Amino acid sequence: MEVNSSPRIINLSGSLNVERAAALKTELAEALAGDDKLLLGFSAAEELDLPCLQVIIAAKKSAEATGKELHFMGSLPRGIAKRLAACGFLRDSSDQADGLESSLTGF
Amino acid sequence: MPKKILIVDDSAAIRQSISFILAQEGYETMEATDGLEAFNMLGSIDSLDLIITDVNMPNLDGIGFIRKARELPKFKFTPILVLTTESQGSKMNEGKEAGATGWIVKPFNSDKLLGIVKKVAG
Amino acid sequence: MSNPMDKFKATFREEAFELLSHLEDGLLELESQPLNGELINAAFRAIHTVKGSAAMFGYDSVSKFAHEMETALDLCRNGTLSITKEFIGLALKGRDQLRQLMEFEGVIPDDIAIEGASLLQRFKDFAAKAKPKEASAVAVSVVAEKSPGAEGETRATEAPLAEAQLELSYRISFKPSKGIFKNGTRVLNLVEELSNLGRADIIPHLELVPPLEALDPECCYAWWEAILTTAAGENAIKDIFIFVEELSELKIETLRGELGGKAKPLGEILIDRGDVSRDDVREALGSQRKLGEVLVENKLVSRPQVESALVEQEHLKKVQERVDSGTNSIRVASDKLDALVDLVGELVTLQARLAQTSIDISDASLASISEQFERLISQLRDNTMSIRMLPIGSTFNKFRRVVRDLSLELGKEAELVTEGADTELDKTVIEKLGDPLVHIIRNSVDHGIESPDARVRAGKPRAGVIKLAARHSGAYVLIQVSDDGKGLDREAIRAKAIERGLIFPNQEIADQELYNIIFEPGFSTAKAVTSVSGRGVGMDVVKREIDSLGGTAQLTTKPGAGMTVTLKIPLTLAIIEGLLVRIAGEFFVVPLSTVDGCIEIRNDQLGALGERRIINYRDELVPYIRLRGFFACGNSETGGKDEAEPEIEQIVIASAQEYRVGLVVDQVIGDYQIVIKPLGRMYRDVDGVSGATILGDGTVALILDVNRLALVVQRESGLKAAAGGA
Repeated sequence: MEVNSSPRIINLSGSLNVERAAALKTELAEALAGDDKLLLGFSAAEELDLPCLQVIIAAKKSAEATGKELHFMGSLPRGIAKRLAACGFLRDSSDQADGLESSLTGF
Repeated sequence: MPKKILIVDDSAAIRQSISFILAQEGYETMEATDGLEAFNMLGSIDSLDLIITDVNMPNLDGIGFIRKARELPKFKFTPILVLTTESQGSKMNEGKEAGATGWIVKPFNSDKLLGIVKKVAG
Repeated sequence: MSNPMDKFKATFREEAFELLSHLEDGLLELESQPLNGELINAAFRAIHTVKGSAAMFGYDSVSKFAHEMETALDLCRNGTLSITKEFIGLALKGRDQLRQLMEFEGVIPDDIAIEGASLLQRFKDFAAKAKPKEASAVAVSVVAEKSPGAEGETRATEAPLAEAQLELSYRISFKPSKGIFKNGTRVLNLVEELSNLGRADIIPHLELVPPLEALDPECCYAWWEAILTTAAGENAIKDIFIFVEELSELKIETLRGELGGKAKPLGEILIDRGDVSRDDVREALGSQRKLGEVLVENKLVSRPQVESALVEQEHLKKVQERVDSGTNSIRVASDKLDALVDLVGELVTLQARLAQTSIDISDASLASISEQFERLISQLRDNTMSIRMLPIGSTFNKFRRVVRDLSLELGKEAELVTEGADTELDKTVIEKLGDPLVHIIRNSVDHGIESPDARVRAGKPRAGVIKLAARHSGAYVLIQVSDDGKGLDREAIRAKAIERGLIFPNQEIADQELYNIIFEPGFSTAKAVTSVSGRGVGMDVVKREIDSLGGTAQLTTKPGAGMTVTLKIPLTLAIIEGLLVRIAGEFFVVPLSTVDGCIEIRNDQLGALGERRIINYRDELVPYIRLRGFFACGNSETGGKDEAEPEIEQIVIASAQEYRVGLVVDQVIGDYQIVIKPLGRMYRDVDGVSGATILGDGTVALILDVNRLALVVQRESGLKAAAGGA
């Protein structure tokens, strides 16, 4: 019986590059172990490369498998949105994180 | 934040012309004259966005430098470009085996250089 | 006009202007992608074509000027010089100059000639820069000589932009190896590069990404499929992946479009891709459901496979459409089109008379002919209207230029992003929209976007973004211009509005309404008159133009976060559906797109003539106006009546912007297709009327300007606050 249902917010910042991937995996795994609802924000991120993106997708898969919730919120910085769109991760030209989320859930 | 690029070559002309072209595009560049000097520099650098290195150099050649750089956790995934004159030469394969990301064939013009730099370092 | 060459001259001019306008688009695009070889090639080709044909048709000055531009562009094309912002600026000026030269045959005015000479010199100077660069290339090749025997002239020096101009479609699959990160490869860079090579649909595959517990963060799981249409050639695609040849699985297949332009069926595509066998498809087609679903259900293909195939189908369809529209179209002078529309308009009017006559005569065979006639005419009308429809994107590039030039002039940084460029709108509407949009965009750059430093202080990126978006909404097109600037200053507007006597000092006014005061004549909050938007005209000009198109303009803002101007424009101006009503023996038309509904009311329940009252319509208080009084029909002021007021009157509920308004009329007659005719001079100043039309029996009906009427009612009913909830 969980009483606390307010989501835990994680604002990702800096370069989410390959060097960060391992640390991000640990961070998200711990967060998922402790909370039922996670909100990921990207607005302070400078870069989002494939390794970290894979970690985030994996976390979303884990959350779904265990009945927890992981959602994206806020806007994506322009540079990131542009790259993600070019790589097919953002279907419409939105620069909102939930646009990324809905595109990703299709895969 | 400007991207940081280390250029390693024993020819000052090459080093400086690459550095000039990159600096014009807003990259921050550092230079080393051979593999050993470059490797020693790595100790005091936190991170790099790209390393461009020649192959034939005194003291420590490019291939050896790449191998040693890849052993440092900080530079495990750093993009590394090899400057080469042979497009299909054995050096290219050696470089790749050592952990290089790609190569630049000499001679090149600024567009070609910038195109490749952008491709690997984004 | 006896010289037959004159005819071709006109064609040449038309062609040249078009090429120059493409050139402008291309140069602007090139500015953001200076390494895009395809764009450089396209710009080069455009100039080359203009140069060649200009000489043939005696435009020597054009040809000469184009030659210098071509030389400079050629140096960029072969990589000797790089494309800089300055060069783009110069090239754009050159393009403008060419346009000017095209305008004047033979005799060139002095000022243009002088400008031309100085531009020519600048192109020559630019081209001359190629020499010192060669010196640095020498420095490089000195080293190349250090390792003799090396074949320096290889892949790297080849121009990757082959001569190939033919566009081909490719199906590409790119599977990076698991360890690809370990040599420093940034996989997304490669995919992005691929998508920039042409028109691309990129399909990422993330099925292999495991749940978090099982994930190795240094391992690559994602892979991609892409459908790409490009003129760059297969080698250019391979070149992108040249560094990862051994670290990935790359498959490139050339796709052939079907002859006859028909889209390939999904089943064929799946077979072609090797996802499924022909027999399985045949069997699945036997059931009556969607092929993709059946195949997925029977586990013959996976859902992602079907989705990729669908993307491929869609992509090829679009490519085919582009090819078709390129080959199967003809050019028609637009005045011929206007004449056609006029004729169709006459036909619609005449048809109304025919219908009326056939009812009067009540002859069965005539009625049947009239009905068929009506159907055909309505199809003819729709077809004619669709010919006049143009994608609004054709004007977008002009705006990009406006933003570029103006932000440079003001020392600001701003970028225009557009959305919905393929939204279609009547040609005349598009033409009339140009000026108001330029004004709104200039206003955004001038007043909205802050200086780069101020933006940085406010925690925004240095460059502001102005977004121009268009989309359909019923019989309207919505066009939005939004910026991420500082937004409107509520207090400044309020102060100004009071100063100008537009509101009372103590008047309570909703924010929304206050902001829209900006559209009132004579309103301008700019403290100093800048050279840009303060030229004595304000947003009221915009408002007037939009009104004349039968549209509305609205402004919303968030302090510190920017503002948005929304224009709602009817799709077409010439022929609309209207609701015909009668007041005191005279006919009026309410545009059907504004009508919400009709209700009846007893005459004695209405307020006295001229008074504005309220009625309850679907739980909403709607103010109404008695048009009999408003237009003084039947000379009601003196009490005389041409036609008595009926006991039961009708209220037409119409909506304008966010308001609803009731229009009291004697009788609602019904739907009518009406051809809008401009009002004669006598009627031009009549409030509440926007145009006229001719009915079937030849009588004239006035078209009501619902926006205007709503405003009058709202203003005078003092019900503004209540209507806010409407």
